[in-house]
Amino acid sequence: MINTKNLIKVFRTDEVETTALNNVNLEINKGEFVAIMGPSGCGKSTLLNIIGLLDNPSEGELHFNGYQVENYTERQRTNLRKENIGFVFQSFNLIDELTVFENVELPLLYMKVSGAERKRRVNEALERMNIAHRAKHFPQQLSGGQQQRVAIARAVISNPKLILADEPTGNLDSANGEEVMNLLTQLNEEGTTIIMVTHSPSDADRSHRIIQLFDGHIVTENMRQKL
Amino acid sequence: MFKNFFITLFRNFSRNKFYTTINIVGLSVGLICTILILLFVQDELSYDKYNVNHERIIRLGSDFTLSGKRDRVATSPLPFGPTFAEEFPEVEQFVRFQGSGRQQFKYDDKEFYEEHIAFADSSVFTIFSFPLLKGDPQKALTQPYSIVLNETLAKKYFNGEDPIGKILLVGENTAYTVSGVMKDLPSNSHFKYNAFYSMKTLESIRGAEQFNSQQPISFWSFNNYTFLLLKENSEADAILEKFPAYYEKYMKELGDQLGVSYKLIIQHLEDIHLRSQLQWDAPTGNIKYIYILTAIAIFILSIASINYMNMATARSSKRAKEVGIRKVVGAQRDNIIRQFMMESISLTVFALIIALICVELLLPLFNQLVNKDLTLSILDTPEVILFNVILAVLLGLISGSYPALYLSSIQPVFILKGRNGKGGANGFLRKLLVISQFTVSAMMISGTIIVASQFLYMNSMDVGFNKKDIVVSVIRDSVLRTRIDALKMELKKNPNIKAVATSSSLIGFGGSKTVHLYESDEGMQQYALNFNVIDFDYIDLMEMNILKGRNFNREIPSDTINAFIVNESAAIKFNWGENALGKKLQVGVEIEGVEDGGEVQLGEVIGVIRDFNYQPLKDLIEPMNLIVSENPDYRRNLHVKINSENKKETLLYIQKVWNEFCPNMSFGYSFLDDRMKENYEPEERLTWIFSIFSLISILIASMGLFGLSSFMAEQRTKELGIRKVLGASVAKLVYLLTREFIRLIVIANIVAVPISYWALSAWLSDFPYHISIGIWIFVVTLIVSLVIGLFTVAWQSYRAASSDPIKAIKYE
Ligand SMILES: Nc1ncnc2c1ncn2[C@@H]1O[C@H](COP(=O)(O)OP(=O)(O)OP(=O)(O)O)[C@@H](O)[C@H]1O
Ligand SMILES: [Mg+2]
Repeated sequence: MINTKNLIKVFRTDEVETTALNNVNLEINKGEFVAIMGPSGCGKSTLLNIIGLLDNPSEGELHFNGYQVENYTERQRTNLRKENIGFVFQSFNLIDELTVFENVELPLLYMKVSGAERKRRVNEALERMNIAHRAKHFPQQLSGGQQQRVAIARAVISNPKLILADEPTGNLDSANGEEVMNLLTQLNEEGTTIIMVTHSPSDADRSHRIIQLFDGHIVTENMRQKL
Repeated sequence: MFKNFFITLFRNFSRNKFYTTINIVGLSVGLICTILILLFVQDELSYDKYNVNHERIIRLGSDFTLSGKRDRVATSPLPFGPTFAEEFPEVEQFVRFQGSGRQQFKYDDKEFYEEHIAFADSSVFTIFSFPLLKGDPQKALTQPYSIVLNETLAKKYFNGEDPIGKILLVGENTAYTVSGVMKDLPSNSHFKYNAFYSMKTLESIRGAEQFNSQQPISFWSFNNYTFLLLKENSEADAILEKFPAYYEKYMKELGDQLGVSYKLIIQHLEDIHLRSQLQWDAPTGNIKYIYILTAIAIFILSIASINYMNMATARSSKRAKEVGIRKVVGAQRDNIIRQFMMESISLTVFALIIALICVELLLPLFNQLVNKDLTLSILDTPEVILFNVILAVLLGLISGSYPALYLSSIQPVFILKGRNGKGGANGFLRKLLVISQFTVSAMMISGTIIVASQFLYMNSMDVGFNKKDIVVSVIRDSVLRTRIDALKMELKKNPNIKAVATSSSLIGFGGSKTVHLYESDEGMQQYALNFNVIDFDYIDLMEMNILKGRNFNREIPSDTINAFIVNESAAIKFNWGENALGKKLQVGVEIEGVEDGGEVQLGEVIGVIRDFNYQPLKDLIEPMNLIVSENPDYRRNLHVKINSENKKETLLYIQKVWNEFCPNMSFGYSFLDDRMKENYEPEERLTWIFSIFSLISILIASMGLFGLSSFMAEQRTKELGIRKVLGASVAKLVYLLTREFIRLIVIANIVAVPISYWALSAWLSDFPYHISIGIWIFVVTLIVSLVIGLFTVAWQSYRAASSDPIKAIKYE
C-alpha cells in the first residue's frame, strides 16, 4: 500500500539545515498495524506527515496505493488524502468552536456528503466510539480520553483505508490510553491499515511490526508475529 | 457546508467579542459615513433632473470682455429669448426669469417679507416640471399682474381659502391676482423660487414697445436668466456654431462701438448646480466638494477595512490551528478561502444592517448639517441601498481577502506541530496597514485644521472696513428714500446710534459695474469699473481709510457732481501711481444714436481709499469708484452703526422710528457681519463636515490600534513576565510595547505631509485670500496623532506591563 524509496526530508530554516529523514526505504502493506518508535527528534512525525500526504519529501519516491505521489500538488494530495487517510494526534486537534458532532462531521463536509447521510454516519461513528451522549458538547468540556475518541471517530468517518496516529496515547492516562489502543486494534482487525508513532513499548506491542528510527534512518524493523 | 461556516463564524465571533465588536463598530461607522455621504452626493448629482425635459433645457449666459476686463455671467439680455426662438430652428420654446428681490406681501391682516420671487414668462410651466395644484399651466402667467404662489405661500396667506382670483398686495400696494398654486420646488432644484409674477407685468410697467424692443441697446443689458427648451434631437452646439451670424445681425455694431467683445455661454440645466462658476448665479454646489466627500468616504471605509485585516491576521495564529485541522481532514485551499471570505462578508453585511438603522436615526441631524432634506428608503433611494449592499459585500471581499489568502496558505504540518506561524511578512504587512491608516488620519487632521483656519481667517480678515455692529436694511419705499435726512436726524437722537448712511449696493456682496473713461497718457480709455453710490456719511461709518486726498464733504456741493474716490486697485490699474489725485474720470459713455444710454458724469479723483473687500472674499478686490450723491434713487441700503451694548433697545428704537416714517412696510434688518458670514456658508459647512468625519476616521483608526495593541500585549504576556522578573520596570515595559507604534505613527505623518500639502494647496488656491500652509499645521497634526495613538496603545500596554509576572509566566 505504501512504498518509499530513498526518502529524504530536509528542513531549511534561515541558516540551519536539518535532515529529518535520510534515505528511508519502507514498505507497508494493506491491513498492517505498524508502530514507529525512536528517540525524540529522530523524524517520526516527519515520516508520518509525508506518508499522510500532509507534506512532500525533499527527495525520493513515495508510492501510495499504486500512485506515485511525491510530486503531487497540494490539491492532489488533499484529494487523495480525504478519501483514504484518517489522522489521530497526540494533542487531539479538535476545533474548539465546533461541537463533538460537528467536529466528526467535518471530513464529510469536504467530501460533499448529503446532510442526512452525514448525520447517519456521524451518529454511527460516535456510537461506535462510545461518545454519542456527548455529541452536543464542545471539546473543552470533555476529558482527554473522550476527546481522543472523538478524534478517532473523525478519523474513521470517511472509512479510510489508512489511519495515521501520532502518539495517540501521549496525553492520556493509562486507562484512557488502553481504551484508545483497543479501538485502534479493533479498527485494524476490521481491515484498516494503521501506522502509529509511539513512545510506549506496551502500545507498540499491539502492532504487527515495529520500525525503529534513529536520526532519520530506519535502524531495525521487527516483524512480530501476532499471537 | 454553509451551516458549518456560519456555526464557526458565530461561535468565533461570540468567543472574541472584543475584536468582533471593534470590527463591527468600525465597519458600521465607516458604512454610516459612506451612506450619508452617498445620499448627499446622490442628491447633489440629482439637481434639476426632476425636470422631465432636463436633457433638452439649456441656459444662456454671457462672457464679455470690456477693455481687457472679462466677466462671465449667468444672465443674458431680455431679447435673447424671442430672437433665439426666431433665429434658431433648434429652439422649441424659451422662458426668462427676472428676480425681484425681497418684497412685502400682504393679504388681509397677513403681512410678511418674502424672498425668491421672479418674473417669469408663461412658458415656465411647460418647459419646467413645476406642477400646478391649482390654475391652468398654459394660462396662469399670461396676464399682467398675475402671480403664481407655491403651496407654502398659498397656505400662509390664504389658509384654507381658495387663493385663485384673490388679490395679493405686493410692495407698495401693487395688486396681483393669484392665478395659480404650484407645488413647492423640490429641494434638489437650483431654482429657489417661491412665486412667479407674470413677465407680462414687466411688459405693462415698461410699456410693450420698450419691453419688446430689439434696439441694439437692449442686447447689452444682461438682466435675465434665459432658458431654452431645445427640440428633440437638437444639439446645443448647433446654436453656438450659428451664433456669430446672430451676433453680426443684432449685437456687433453697438458692441464694436462700446469696445466690448461677447461670447455666448451655453450651459445644460443639469450642469448648473455643480459645474457653473458664473457671476450673478444662484448659489450653487461645487463639484470639488463632491470629490472631497467621496474621498473622505473612501478613506473612512479603508480605515475600517484595514482594521478588519489587521485584527484578522493578528489573530491568525489562533485561527491557524483550525485551518490546519480543516486541511488535514480534507479541506482544499479554496474551501478555506471561501470560508474566510464568507466570514468577512457576513460581518460587513451585519455591519451594513446596523449602519442602515443608524443612518435612519442620524438623518435628521445630518440634514441639518448639510441643509438638505435627504431620506433613505427602498422606495425613494433603491439605488443607494443596492449600491450599499454591493459595497458591503465588496468591502467584505476586500477586507477578507488578505486574511483569507494568508490563512489558507498555512501548511497543516506547521500547526499540528504546535508551532504557531509567527509570520515575519505578516508582521511587516501589519505595520504597513497601520501606517496607511494613520496616514489617512493625519491627512484628515491636517485637512480639518486648514479648512477651519481658512474659515476663521475669512471671517476675521481685515476687510478694509469695520463690519461690526452695523444694522443694514433695504429701503424699498420710494417715499422713504426721499426722507432719509429726516430719518437720519431722528435716528441719531438715540445716543446708542453712532452713525447712519446709505449706499446703492451692499458692501461684501459685489456691486454694480458700468463703463468708465479714465485719464491715461493715450487720452481717455474705457474700462468696466465697479462703482457704489454712497452718501456723505458712508466712508466714516464704515471706518474706511482714505490714503490720499480727502473724503467727500457736505460743505463742497460740487462733490456730488464731479468728485470721485477710487480704491488703490483702481489707481494701480489705471497706472496713476502716486499721482491719482486730480486725474479725470467719467462715469458712463455717450453712445451715438442712442438716447437712453444712461447719464454721463465727468469729474476728477479727490481721494484714494484703501482697498476694501466690497465683494465676497472669494473674489479678488477689483478697481472701484465711489460716487457721492443725494439722489434718492441710490439710497437703497440703509446702514446704522450702533453701540455694541444695548443692541436690543437700539433695534427697537430703530424699528419704532422706521414705522413712523414708513408705516406701510415693516422693518426688516440684518447685521452686516452676519450677512457677510453667509457668504462663507459652504466653507463653514465643510469645516463641520471635515471635523466630524476626521474625528470619526481617527476614532476608527484608534479602535483598530487599540485592538491590535491589546492583541500584541496579550501575545507578549509571557515575555513581559520574564522581563519583569528579571527586573524591568513597568515604565520600561510600556515603552517597549509602545515604541513600535510611535514609530509607525511618525512614519505615517511623514508620508501624509506631501499628500496633504498637495491636496490642501489645491483647495486653498480657489481662494484669492487664503492662509498659507505652515509647518506648524503638520507639527500639530503629528502631536494630535501621537497623543491619540499613545493614549490608545499605552492603556493596554500599561495593563499588560503591570500585571502579576508570576501569572504571566504561567499563562500559556
Ligand atoms: N518545520 C520544521 N522546520 C525545521 N525543522 C523541523 C521542522 N519539523 C521538524 N524539524 C526537525 O526535524 C527533526 C525531526 O522532527 P520530528 O518532529 O519528525 O521528530 P519526532 O521524531 O516526531 O520527535 P518527537 O518524538 O519529539 O515528536 C527535528 O530535528 C526537528 O527539529
Ligand atoms: Mg513527533
